[in-house]
Amino acid sequence: MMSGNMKLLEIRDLCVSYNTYEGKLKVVDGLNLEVRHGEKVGLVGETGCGKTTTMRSILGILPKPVGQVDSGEIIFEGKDICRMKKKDLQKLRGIEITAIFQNPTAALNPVFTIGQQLYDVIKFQEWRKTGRRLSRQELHQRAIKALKEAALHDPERLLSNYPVQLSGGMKQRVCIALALVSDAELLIADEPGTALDVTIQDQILRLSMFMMSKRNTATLYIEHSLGVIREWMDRVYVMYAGRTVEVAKSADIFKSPRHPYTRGLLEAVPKLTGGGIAQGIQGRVPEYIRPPTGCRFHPRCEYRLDICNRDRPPFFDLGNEHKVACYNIKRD
Amino acid sequence: MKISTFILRRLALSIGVLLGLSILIFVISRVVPGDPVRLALGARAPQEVVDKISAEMYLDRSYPVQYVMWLKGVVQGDFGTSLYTRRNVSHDVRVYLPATLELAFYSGLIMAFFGIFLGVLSVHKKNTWVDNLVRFISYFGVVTPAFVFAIIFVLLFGFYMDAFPISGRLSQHISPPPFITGMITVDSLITGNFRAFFNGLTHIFLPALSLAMAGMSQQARIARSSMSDNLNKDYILAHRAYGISERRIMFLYLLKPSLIPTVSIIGLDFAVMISNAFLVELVFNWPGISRYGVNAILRKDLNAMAAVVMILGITFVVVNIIVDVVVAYLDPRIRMRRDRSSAL
Amino acid sequence: MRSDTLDIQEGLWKKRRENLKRAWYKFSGNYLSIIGLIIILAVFFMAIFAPWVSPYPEHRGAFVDFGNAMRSPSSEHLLGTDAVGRDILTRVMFGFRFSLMMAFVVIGLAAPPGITAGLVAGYFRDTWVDTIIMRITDVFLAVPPLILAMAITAVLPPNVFFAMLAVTLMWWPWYSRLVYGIASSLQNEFFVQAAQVTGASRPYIIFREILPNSISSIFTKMTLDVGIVIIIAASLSFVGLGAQPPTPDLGTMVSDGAKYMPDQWWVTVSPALAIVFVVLGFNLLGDGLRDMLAVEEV
Repeated sequence: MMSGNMKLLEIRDLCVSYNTYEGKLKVVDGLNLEVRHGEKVGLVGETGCGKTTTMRSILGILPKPVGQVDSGEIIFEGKDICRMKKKDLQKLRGIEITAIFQNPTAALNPVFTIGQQLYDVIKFQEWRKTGRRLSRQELHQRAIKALKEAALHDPERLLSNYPVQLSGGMKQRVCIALALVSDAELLIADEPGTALDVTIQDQILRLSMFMMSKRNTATLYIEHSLGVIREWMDRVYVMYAGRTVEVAKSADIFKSPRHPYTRGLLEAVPKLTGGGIAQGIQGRVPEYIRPPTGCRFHPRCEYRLDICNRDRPPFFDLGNEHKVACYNIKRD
Repeated sequence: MKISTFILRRLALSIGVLLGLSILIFVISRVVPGDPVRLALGARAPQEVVDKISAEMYLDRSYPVQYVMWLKGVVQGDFGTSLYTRRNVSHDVRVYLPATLELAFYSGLIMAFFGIFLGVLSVHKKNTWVDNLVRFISYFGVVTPAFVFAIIFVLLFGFYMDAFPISGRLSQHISPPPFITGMITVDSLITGNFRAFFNGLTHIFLPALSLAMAGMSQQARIARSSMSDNLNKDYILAHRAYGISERRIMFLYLLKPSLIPTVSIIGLDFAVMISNAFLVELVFNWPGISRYGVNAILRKDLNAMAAVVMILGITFVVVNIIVDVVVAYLDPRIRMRRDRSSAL
Repeated sequence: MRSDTLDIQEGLWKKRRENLKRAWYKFSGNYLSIIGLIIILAVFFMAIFAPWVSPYPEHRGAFVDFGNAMRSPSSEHLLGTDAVGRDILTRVMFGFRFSLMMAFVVIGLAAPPGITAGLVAGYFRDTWVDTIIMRITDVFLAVPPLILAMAITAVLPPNVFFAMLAVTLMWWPWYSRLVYGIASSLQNEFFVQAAQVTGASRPYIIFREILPNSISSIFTKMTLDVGIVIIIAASLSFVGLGAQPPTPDLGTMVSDGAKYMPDQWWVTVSPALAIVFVVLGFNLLGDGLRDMLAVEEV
């Protein structure tokens, strides 16, 4: 349920690059995206297309000095994150924006107990929001509550455990608990199930979706697997080589994908019902130092026109929240 | 596993090592030279003296028996007679050891705390002049031998600036405190003799600093690089994303995991420091056991030498155990592992 | 068929050149490493060509000229003269020669057995071979190298040769430990297991799979070790346990000159700074190598 159509997060023409030996990797090149209050937005794309970089840019945690935002704006509740001072950014993080990371083992500090890390986050939230200092009792209670909500049993014991003693699924749940302690407006989740077994993945996903709908948190859910997206998201962005190429309501993306890449992605998913072995998309992900001119997908596209090589396609509005960045929209 | 089990395991391991060390020393001091007594006393010593001392050292028995006798003595604190001074080596040890321990203590303090502090400071003020200065100094700390530092300090602070004394443990005009621990600063504090305490401190400052420079620089560099590496780790980014303040991240969440490689090296740096002690003791005329050991070596006083090496070896092993325990405390992953891993 | 293999070979060479270029790029990007390289080249030059490049080559051994003694640094004697009138710059150059020779001998003698021991122990991990080798290593590592080296020199006549021997004996365990660590961690890597499964013999695995992966660490360590060994050698001779006068050893020179402080400070400070100079060079170089060979991740 959306509380109004107010834009919570808007990314305009974001360009992010990494400086490496080989050259400047223009990983994100003109990304456009928006998330409204309470909305669940999916961001789909292959590995290496810049999804994680986007997430880090929003949170302001790009690895320095290698990564930098070249241009563009990330506007959160009216303020541009890219231009914000560190102090103000800190005020946002954990309070208004929070995150779940891909690899739960890497996301938890190995030399501190779960309890220590959880207490700290709760402490800071409270201090930031109300200026109060919580007593040990209250901290403990809230921590237990958070862990229980994340469907972890025996939370008492968990608090005194170190991350190394937990299984992958448990660690991810702890990360979810940590993220959701804050009751933030926006949650960014970066492929939270990827590092886990499929069954656990499903559990984790259901859990996070459940918790988020309970709280009416807006979500930017980054994934490379389409199945996940389909069930839970309101709108979906498809990303390729550092740009968003299509966006539509969740059902529309699956019913009538317009961009050749999106089509390719959907066809690549093996279906149990009907049709033989799935089709891949020919070609490879472009390199980011000298990316293809014009539309970045054109080398692999079977529908390409001359103009695709020269000019970057703008977003064409097809109505009903469906936009495509492709010159081929006349087709079908 | 619990920390206590860990300590016990380490102790057991160390006993084995110490035993091996004792064999090694025994071989060096008895087996290798043809006739150790001759070697020490020289060709002109009268035969009766040689025979007498040889008997005392059981040199007529077989090697394993000699070893056992020697080891028995060592365990009881009896290192035999010095071939040079004809006194009990243990007596000499008791006189000289505290001086070196005191020196090692202050050096270790400077090395560990100041070194890590500099490293953290460096990262905190990364790429500013503070950072560059620390990196510059610590680089020279690593490439300069302790005796060069000693000489430079003597020239600079002793002669040109005349700020610190450069010889001995206490000035002539101060009366030393009674021998309780043998460490001047400690004894004078205990007996409330503050003049002696401060005087002792000024005397120990330059030698301790010379000795500590190498280790301190190494600590600073490792602390800096370790913290630098961990800065971009996912969990630090996660802490930031959860909203924890930069300061807390820097001084707690980043520091603790970064300390692990640093503290592991402390043991090594301490070893280097102890082995360099003799250089500093010589330059500053510090009456410590290292200087005693070097003289023993120069005079071929094998009993004394064996004693010194054994003692230094034991000290080193003890320090290593402490370091390992601290590291195990810092890194729970080590405690959880059962196998013996040599790398972190 | 032939053109295929030729193409593959060419491809391999191209790749190696590319890797070298990339390595050089990384290395040269760091100006400190370049400085280190320059220092080392300078030291090597002085060391190798000392008899022809030094201003007063006859001063290197026993030579006296009391009329010229204790001269402060001047245009004739850039680093001054010592207590018996010898030019210090010359002696420093020969000192470099000496130190470098010692370092290379020590490392050259200590590394191969150490590496082999480490490889063997690492490969036969968790067997009695491993236990024995590593226990022996532990004993040697339990004591600071310098102390045991001194003890060894005690029972032998004090001269350069035995000092080197002593340090060598102390040095090999460090290579064992390094290689052991690498070998055991590689044990679990797939390519080793793949080699085992396809029936490769043990020596093959050790020398063709594990060793090449250790080379960069070993090489870096060796470079850094030169500096450390030079310091140890200088420390030993400072105390009188290594080179004896009139050999131009840097440590001996420092200790000889120490008694003339502070007035004729250059007699001791010049060789002291020379030591710092050469060790600095090797450290900078070693650090540069380490950075260059490390994995860069984006």
